[in-house]
Amino acid sequence: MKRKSLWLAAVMVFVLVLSACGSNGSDGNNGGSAGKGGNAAAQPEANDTANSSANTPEDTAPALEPVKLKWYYVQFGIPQDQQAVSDAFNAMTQKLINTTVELVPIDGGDYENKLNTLVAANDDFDLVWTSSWLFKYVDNVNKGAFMEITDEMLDKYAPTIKSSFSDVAWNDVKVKDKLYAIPNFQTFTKTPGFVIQKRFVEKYNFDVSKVKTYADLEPLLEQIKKNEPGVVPFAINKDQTMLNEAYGLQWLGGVHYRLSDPFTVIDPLQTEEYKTHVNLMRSWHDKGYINEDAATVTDLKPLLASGNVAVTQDFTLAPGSEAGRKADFGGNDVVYVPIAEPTFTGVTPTMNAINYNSKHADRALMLLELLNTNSDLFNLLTFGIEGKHYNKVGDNTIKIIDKGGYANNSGWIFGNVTKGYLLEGQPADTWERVKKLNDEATVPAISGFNFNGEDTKAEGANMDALSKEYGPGLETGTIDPAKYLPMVIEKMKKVGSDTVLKAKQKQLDEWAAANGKK
Amino acid sequence: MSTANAAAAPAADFQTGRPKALETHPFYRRLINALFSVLSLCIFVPFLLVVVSSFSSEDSILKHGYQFLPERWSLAAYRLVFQSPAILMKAYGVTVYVTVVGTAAGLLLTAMTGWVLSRRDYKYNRQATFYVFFTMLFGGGLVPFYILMTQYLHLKDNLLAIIIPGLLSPFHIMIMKGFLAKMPFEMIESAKVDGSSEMRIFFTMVLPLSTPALATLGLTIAFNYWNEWFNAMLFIDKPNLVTLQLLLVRMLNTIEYLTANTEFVKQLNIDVSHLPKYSVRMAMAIMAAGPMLCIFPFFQRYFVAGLTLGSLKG
Repeated sequence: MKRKSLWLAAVMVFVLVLSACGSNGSDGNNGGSAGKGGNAAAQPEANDTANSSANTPEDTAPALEPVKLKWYYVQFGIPQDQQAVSDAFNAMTQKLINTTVELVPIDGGDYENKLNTLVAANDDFDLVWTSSWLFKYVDNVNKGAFMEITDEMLDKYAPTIKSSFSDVAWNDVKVKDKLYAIPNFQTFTKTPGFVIQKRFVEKYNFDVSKVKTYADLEPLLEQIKKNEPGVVPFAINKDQTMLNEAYGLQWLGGVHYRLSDPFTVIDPLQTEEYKTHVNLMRSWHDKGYINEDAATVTDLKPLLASGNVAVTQDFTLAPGSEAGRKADFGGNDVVYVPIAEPTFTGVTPTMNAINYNSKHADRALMLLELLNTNSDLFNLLTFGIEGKHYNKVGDNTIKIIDKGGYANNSGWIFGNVTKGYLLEGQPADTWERVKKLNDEATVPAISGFNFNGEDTKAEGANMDALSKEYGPGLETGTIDPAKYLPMVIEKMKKVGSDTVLKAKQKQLDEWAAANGKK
Repeated sequence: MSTANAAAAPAADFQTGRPKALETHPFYRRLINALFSVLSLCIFVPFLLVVVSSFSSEDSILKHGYQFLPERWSLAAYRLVFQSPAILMKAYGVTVYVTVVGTAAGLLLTAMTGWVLSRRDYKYNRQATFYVFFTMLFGGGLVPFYILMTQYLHLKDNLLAIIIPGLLSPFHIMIMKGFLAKMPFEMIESAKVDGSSEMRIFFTMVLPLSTPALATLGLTIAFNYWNEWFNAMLFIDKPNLVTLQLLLVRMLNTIEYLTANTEFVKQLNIDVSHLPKYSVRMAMAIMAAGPMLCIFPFFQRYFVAGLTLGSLKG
C-alpha cells in the first residue's frame, strides 16, 4: 500500500512539473512572439504608411488596413448606455483611421485587481488607462507591462499631443528617461487652500486676502463659535493631513522639503512647523472649533452637505469650480482662499499606456491623437450622444440628461479636456483658465523626482502604519501633542525613519546630480 | 456574512438545550442565556441599524448620521433601487440564475464524486481520494487559473466562468464521502443482487438517504454562489452579466478609493455625484442579504445535524 501511494505521488509530481513546464513554455512563446511580432509588425507598417503618403493620419486613412484595438479604462459606475456610445464611436474611428475599438470600461472598484491579473496573464489588449494612484504607472513600467513610446513614434503619430505638453510635463512621465504613457491634458496644478462659506465671510467682514496659514483663520472661527450655534467652525476628516504650504513646506515625489531649500529632505514630524500646527489644532479642538469626530470620520460629505460647516481645507482649489461646490455645502455659496501659488503637480494622475504585447502601437497612438484633435470624437466618448445623453444649451455648453445612461463626464480618461464641452454652470473661459494656470504654475525645483521606496519597503510600511495610527489624532487635535508627538517621533525612529530619510536624501542627491539641478 | 454569524446563535441554543445537567441548574442556565443574548444582540443590533437606515430619508442621515429612530422614514431608497438602476435587477437575476444552476449541478457532482470515493469496492479509491485531497493543499495560483479560463476555455464574459469554478470543492467532497461511507454497504449489495444498475442505486437509494448531507452542502454551495464576486470580477466585463455581490464590492471599493484619493478626485474633477446615496447603499445591502436570510431558517434543521457530518468517521 505504502509503495503504491509513493508511486502515485511520484507520478503526480511528474505530471505537475510537466504541466508547469508546458504552461511556462507556451507562456514564454506567447509573450516572446507577441512582443517580437508586435514590434516587427509595427515598424514596417509604420514605414509603409509614412512612405506611401503624407504624414497626417487623416490623409493616410484610406490606405490603412482595418485594425481592431482593445482599450481598458476606468469608470466610476459603468454607464448603462455604453453600447450605443461604443457603436457611434466605432463608426467614427472606422471612417477616420479604419480602426475599430473595443471599449472596455472597468469599474473603479475592480480596476486595480482586474488589470493586475490581465497584465500578469499577458492578456492581449492595446491601450490601458494608468495613473499615479490607481493601477500605478511606475509599478507597471517596472513590471514591463507597457511599451516604450519613442520620440519618433510621438512625432509621427501624435504630434498634437507632443506639442500640447511642456518638456517639464514629459519629463514627469518618463521613467529612467523613457516614455511609457501618454498623459491626458487636464488641470495639473494644485492650489492648496481653504473653502469658506460666503455668508460668514460677509457677516463678519472677514478679510480672506490676509489668510496665509491656519492661524489666520482663528478670528473668524472664534466669532462663528460664539455667534453661530450648531455650526462647526472648522471641519476636517481623518485623511486630510496638514496643508504643507501653510507652513512653507512641500510634499512632492514622496519627499517633504522646505520651499526655501528644496534639495534637503526633511522629516515633517520633527519640524518646528509641524509642532506648531498640531499645537494649534489641539487648541482649536479644545475650544470646540473642530468637528468632534474629525479623527475617525472618513467621509466629510454628509456634514458639509448639512450646510453647517463654516471653513474646510482643500488640497486643490480647481479653477472655476466654486459654483459647483455650492451643492456640497448645503446650497451655500463658498469662497476659495488659496494659501499658495498654483504649483505644477505632475501629469501622471491620468494617462493611457500601450500594452507591451500590443501589435498595433501605431494605431493606438493615432487613436489617442484623434481624441486630442477631434472634438466630436472626444465629446462622444465623454458625454455620449447629443439629444440622448446630453442637450446643447449654449455654443460649447451642454446639460447632461439626468438618467440618460451616459453621465460620467470622464474626459480626463480619454484625452484633452479642453477639447470638450463645458457643463452648464461652468464659466465660458474655464478651459482658458485651466490652460493659463497650467502654463503659469510654478514648477517645483524637484519636479520629476520620484522616491523609489523598494529598498526601504519594510520601514516604509511600518512608518505608514504609525502615521495611520497617530496622524489623524494629532492633526485633528484629538490627542495631546505634548504627550504623543515625542512618542510618535520616538517610535518612528525605532522603525527606521532615519534610514528612510537618508535613502530619500541619497536618491534626491543622485537625481539632482544626474539632472544638473544643483 | 451576518447570516453566517446568525447561524452561531440558534446552533448554540440548540446545544444548550441538550445537556440535561446544565439545564436543571438555573444559575448556569441564566448565565448562558445572558451570554448568548448579548452575543445575539451584537449581531442583531448592527443589522437592525442597516435595516432602519435603508428606510430613513436621505436628509435625516445627512443631518444626524445613522440612527435607530430616524427623523423621517422614507421608502425613497427602495424606490430608487427598484426603479432606476436596471443593472441591479439584472444583477439579481444573474445571481439567482448562477446560484440555482450552480447549486443543482454542484450538488449532483459532489454527491457523485463523494459516492464513488466512499465505495470500498472501487479499486483506485485511495489514489482518487488522494487526488482530490491534493487539490486542497496545492492550487495553481491566480494567473494560471486566469490564463486557463480565458485563453484555453474562452470563458470570458460567460456565466460559466462563475459557475464552473464553484462546482466541486474538495472539502465538500470529503464531507460527502464521510457521510456516504456510513451507509451500510450490504444494502447496496442486496440492491445489486436484485439487478439494480449503479445509476439506479445512486438516484433511488443513495440520494434520498443522504438528504441531511445534501441539504447542508446545498446550503453551503448556494451561499458560495450567492456571495460570489471574485470570479465575476475577473472574467466578466459586460455590465449585464455582473453578479449582485460584485456590485456591492464595487460600490464599497469605489467609495473607499475615492475618499482615500480626494486629492486626485478634485484635481481630475471626477464626477462622484452618481455614487449611491447613503440610504441606497443600505437598501442594496438588505436586498443582497435578504433572500438568504429568508432561506436559511428552512435549512437550519439540517444544518445543525449536518455540522457534525462525517465527524464520527474519520
